[in-house]
Amino acid sequence: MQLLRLESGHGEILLAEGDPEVAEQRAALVAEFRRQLELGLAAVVPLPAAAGSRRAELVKSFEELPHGTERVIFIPPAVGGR
Amino acid sequence: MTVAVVFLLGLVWLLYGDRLAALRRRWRREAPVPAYDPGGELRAQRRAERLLRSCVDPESWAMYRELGFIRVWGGLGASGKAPAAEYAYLLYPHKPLVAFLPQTGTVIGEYCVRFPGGRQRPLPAADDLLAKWLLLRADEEGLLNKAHVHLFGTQHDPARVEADLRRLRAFERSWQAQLQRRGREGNVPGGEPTAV
Repeated sequence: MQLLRLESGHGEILLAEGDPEVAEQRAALVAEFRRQLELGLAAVVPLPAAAGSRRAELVKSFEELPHGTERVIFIPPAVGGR
Repeated sequence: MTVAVVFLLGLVWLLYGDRLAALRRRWRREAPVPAYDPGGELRAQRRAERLLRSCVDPESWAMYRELGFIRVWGGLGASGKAPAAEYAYLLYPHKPLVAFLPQTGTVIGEYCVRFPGGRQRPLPAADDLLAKWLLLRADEEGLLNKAHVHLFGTQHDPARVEADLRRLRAFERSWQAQLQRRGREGNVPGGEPTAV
């Protein structure tokens, strides 16, 4: 599993990568996941949908991640523009 | 006399121009200008486009490449699926979302939302588009609640959006034709399958 963050002026950066089935790696993933949520970022998982379509799921905790999640994308908090 | 003064000033500038400019900067306490990286923005955009392509469906990717924006069906209505969706959005990088009625092409309004992050620079264009796409698909109501709603034409040029809607209809016709043609051959237009 990869934790990615959309970064201003840069493109995505890899925050953490590991196998959630391995205890040590899972702990590191969970810690980074929580840190990003505490910073106010939104965690979204891109997922396949029916007929080759794509969907996305907003998750509020690591435990909510769908089974087999390969990537979580953290998005800076959205604000209303001018 | 005037010519002589101008000549002297020019001479002084030639001889001491660098020192004078340095003094001027010191007086103004200008911050040092960071080294300019001419390829940085392009690399960021390419990186963002690869991520966008790996997240959205082939039709949306092709739409972005050909038209520069992506159409997303609205999900708060009855079905949220084409062709029954009651409304849809045009997603532009670094511009407000445009909500419209696909059956008539009537524009409902503009929803302005930004992702300022922690730096002065904005997200790369493809990342800005991806952030909107992900949040619209995952939490449409939440995103709309954060957006500032404007009358159509506040930030977008109505003539441009109307032209984009015409281009979108042409794209959709072409895409359907490709689907039917390649469906018979067992291929999906839009390139190779992407990882999720």
